[in-house]
Amino acid sequence: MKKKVYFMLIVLFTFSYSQGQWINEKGKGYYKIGGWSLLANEHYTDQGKVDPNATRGLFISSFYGQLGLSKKVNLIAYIPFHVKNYQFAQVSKTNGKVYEPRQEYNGFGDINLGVEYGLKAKGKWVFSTTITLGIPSGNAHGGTDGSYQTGDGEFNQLFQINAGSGYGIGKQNFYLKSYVGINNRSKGFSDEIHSYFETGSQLLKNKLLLLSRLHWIKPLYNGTLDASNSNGSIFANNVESIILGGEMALNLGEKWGIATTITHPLFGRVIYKTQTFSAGIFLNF
Amino acid sequence: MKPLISILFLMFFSCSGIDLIEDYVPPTLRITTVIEKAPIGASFELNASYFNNIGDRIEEASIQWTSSNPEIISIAPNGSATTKMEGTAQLVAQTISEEGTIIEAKISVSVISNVILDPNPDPETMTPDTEENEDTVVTTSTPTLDIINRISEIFEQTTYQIEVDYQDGNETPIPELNWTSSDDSILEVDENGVVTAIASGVATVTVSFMVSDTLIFAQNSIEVIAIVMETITSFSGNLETKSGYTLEGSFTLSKTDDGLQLTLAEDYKASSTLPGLYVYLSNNSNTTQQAFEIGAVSVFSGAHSYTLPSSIGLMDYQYLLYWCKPFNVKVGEAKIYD
Repeated sequence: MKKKVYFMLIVLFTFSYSQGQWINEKGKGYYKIGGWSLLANEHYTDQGKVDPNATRGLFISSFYGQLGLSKKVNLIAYIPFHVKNYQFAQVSKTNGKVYEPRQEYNGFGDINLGVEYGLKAKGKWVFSTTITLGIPSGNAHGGTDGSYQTGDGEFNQLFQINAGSGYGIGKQNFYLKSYVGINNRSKGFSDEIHSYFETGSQLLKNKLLLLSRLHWIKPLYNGTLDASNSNGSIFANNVESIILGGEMALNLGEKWGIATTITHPLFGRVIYKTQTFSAGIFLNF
Repeated sequence: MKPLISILFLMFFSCSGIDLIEDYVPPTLRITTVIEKAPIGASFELNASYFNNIGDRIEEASIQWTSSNPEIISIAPNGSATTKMEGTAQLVAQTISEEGTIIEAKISVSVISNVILDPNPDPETMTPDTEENEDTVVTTSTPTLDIINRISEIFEQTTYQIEVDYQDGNETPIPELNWTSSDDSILEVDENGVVTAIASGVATVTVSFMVSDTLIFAQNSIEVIAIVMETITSFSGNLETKSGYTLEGSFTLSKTDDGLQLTLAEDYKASSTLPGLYVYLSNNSNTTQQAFEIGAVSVFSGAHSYTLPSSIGLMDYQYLLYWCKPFNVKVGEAKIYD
């Protein structure tokens, strides 16, 4: 289950982060509350092949906030205040016998706390750096068999270098942002390289934001944790994924609007092969 | 706001649902007594187990036995069989599945002679007992007694009629014969010369009578052989991955004094990236629901073994399964026997 949670964190965090394109001014912020859903009956194996699995799902209700502390410093928080981790009932197709009833575990997820610091502006480009701390506030052993996790149980630190710019195609203006980062994971998990690319544009007199993104996570395979040294239980180590996503954010008022996202994995290892969906309300003031 | 609320509502309540497990397997009747040959006069019990369409073993299933040739092997409906004469017969077990179809299984059993004739029939004939009859003189005019169907071996728990040839030159009726065995715990003989093999060992049957203080006798030394039904004590095979995860290697499931032992050979290798990899014995390769859970896998390469409870028979399960338990992922399998 940790792989799901991990997947969720990546997607949600990047989704939220994209809303504030650059550093917020002091006292100004971006806040969002929403839900995120995943339902999967397939996953990528450690060899990148696709195998079936019992249908499992995650539904996460979360808060995301980004507040400008100064002209160059933003505070970022992602708080999954409710994580529902569940599995469909397993029923015999032959005689209808219920082998395993539906199972569900509800809990608090892993919190991410981050600080972004504006580095430099040069021409059309702006650069910043971010450090994000993954707080193991979720339950790494949820449910009857410990597999209904709401967190990965480890403290990690993601260091990013961000770059952003604007460009135009005809009369339409677009923005571009990307980052590379390294995620230092603890408790025997492998560290990871993150690469991220996002581009989007405002439409309908800046009322509608459409964007697409690509996020690649590559483990360094330097972790010591595997099933042979964890009593046969291992979740979400050496996760690899290339995820394509899209987002639509519609301003319904001067300071608020709604946003929806969809993601689709292009490739992965030890991760679900399924689309994710999210929807939320954001405030920008 | 309404569309957003609707989306959130749908997302939240899409959490319910079921997975239908493709767990159908053809119902089977499995004969678990392995026997290919039996001697005439032997009795044995045949056993069979019925497994329904999801691989569940149905203990209370009514199983009826019949013989294709009762003159060769007779069998009671409960599986008690007795061999009658040399030849081959098929023994058929039948039951009726939950769907009302007749399910049957057959084995072919050859019946062989329960004795081995003595290839050199001559020595003890007409020889007086020199210890007890030191002055006995055997002459050509003395009546003669000979065993004409001498045997060297007989299977345990079977009988054999010893026949004699009596000659005195006058065609007088055969006198009253005295039959004895050197060891009644091995071989018994009655007053008509019918021997019954009791237990393994060697004993001598003596048939005799007295003529004018002369003991005339014939003897047959016979070895009693225990009936050893051909039984299988182990199965071997190879693990095969049925997923995108590594699983390979050879295994042996064998009987031990304490029960069963599952041994994985040095070439065994399994992925250590899976959460909750377990090993099972099952009669349905599509699910672990009817399976016996051996335990969580803690060795991912190299030789190792599992000791199984004595309550499990060698032929109780047909598949060895490796399964990711938390996520219900079939990793691989091996067929223990066909």
